[in-house]
Amino acid sequence: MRQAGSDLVIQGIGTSSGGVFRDVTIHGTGRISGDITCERWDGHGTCRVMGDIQAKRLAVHGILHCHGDVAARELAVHGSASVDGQIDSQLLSVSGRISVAGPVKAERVDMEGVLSADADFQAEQMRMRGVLSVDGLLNVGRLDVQLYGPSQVQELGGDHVSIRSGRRRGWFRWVHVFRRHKLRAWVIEGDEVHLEDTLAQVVRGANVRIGRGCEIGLVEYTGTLEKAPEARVTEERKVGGPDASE
Amino acid sequence: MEAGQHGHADEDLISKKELLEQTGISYGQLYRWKRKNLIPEAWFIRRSTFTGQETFFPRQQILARIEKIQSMKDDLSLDEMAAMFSPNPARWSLPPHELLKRNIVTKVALDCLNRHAGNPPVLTFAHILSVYAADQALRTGAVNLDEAGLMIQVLTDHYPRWEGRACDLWVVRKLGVTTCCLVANPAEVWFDATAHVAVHLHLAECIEELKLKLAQETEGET
Repeated sequence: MRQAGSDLVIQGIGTSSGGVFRDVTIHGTGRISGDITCERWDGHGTCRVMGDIQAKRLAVHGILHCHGDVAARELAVHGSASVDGQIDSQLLSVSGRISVAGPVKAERVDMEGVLSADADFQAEQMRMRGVLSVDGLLNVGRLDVQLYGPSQVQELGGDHVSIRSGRRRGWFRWVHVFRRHKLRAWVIEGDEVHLEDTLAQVVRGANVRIGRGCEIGLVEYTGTLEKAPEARVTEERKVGGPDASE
Repeated sequence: MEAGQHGHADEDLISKKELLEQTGISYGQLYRWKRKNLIPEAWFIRRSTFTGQETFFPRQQILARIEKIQSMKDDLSLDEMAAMFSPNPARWSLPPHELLKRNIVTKVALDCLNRHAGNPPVLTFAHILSVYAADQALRTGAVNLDEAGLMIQVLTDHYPRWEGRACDLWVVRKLGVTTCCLVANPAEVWFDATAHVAVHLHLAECIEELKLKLAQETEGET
């Protein structure tokens, strides 16, 4: 790789063909017509990248639209980001909105706002307050979701899965709606599964807690099952162990 | 996913639930291993059943893999294991006598490489892999020395081009003439009736075995 020496600065409206840079700073409207590699990206305003972005630290204040892949050790979005390719990141923090068409791989995810992913999403740790829609497998080691809007996930798996209904406070008050929001999922699987306000066909796990507002088709558990009186579970089965009935 | 499904069409499948019961692992472990790429994406086969969508795995491959992970997980980290299972060429390079000393390849196979590559003082992973593959074929008696040389030539010249994608090695004989080629996996190859397949080697499995041997031997020494 070429030694990354120069900086790219766009103030106002500007375009660049991309390349390798040290710092990229955009205030206003920037358009990068190819791939870009940099140490730090700091975008304020509207940026459009026609290729891939590779950065150590990528901060978006405003709007970013990337038509390729994003690889960044730290990716912070304040505002809105949409990525047509995949995202690979150690630390992904979003306040606002992020939508991604390809698969997402991250180590830690901290999110307040709206996530929409058209493919699989995986992380070791994820804390989310807001609305999520994942059109694939959401595979997270430790997942903590507070629902602030109607959400959906095709499949959900991990060690610790916790879905709670969001308490309406903080800056999120503006999404205030009177009815309770639900998470819809096909399958939820994990070791420790704690659910609230979740509609799922199948929930499988070791220790499962079904809280209020849940409607579950089938619960399969190997350890314990706790059910809130308001929860609706059509069928429950204790499986595994010596007294497995199948 | 399409390719994966096709490749496993005739094979014996095991459902996720059955797999967990049989091996005693938890959902959390399975998902963690998937995140760490210890279990390839192509093995997760989604089929619709009467209870909705269910995930199945190729039975023999997944059981063997889980057994391996469980036996190694005390000694190696998940990332080290992932490096071992991935078909990416590892950054191993060794002097040739080391391979002989550790009994990974035979002298005969190594001589074949020396003839082709001209006595390299340090072997790259592509070299080691080619010698190992040729050695395997020689041991089973499937190929003669010239053909082993051919395998080594093909592997050292072309293997790096795959850049970690899975591929198979075929050695085919017809009317006394032998040829050797690398084919992407999964793929189907059909030959005419007079052709005879002498060797069909899954390089991904071969690499896994080889890495395991290299790692074990280094561990034994330290």
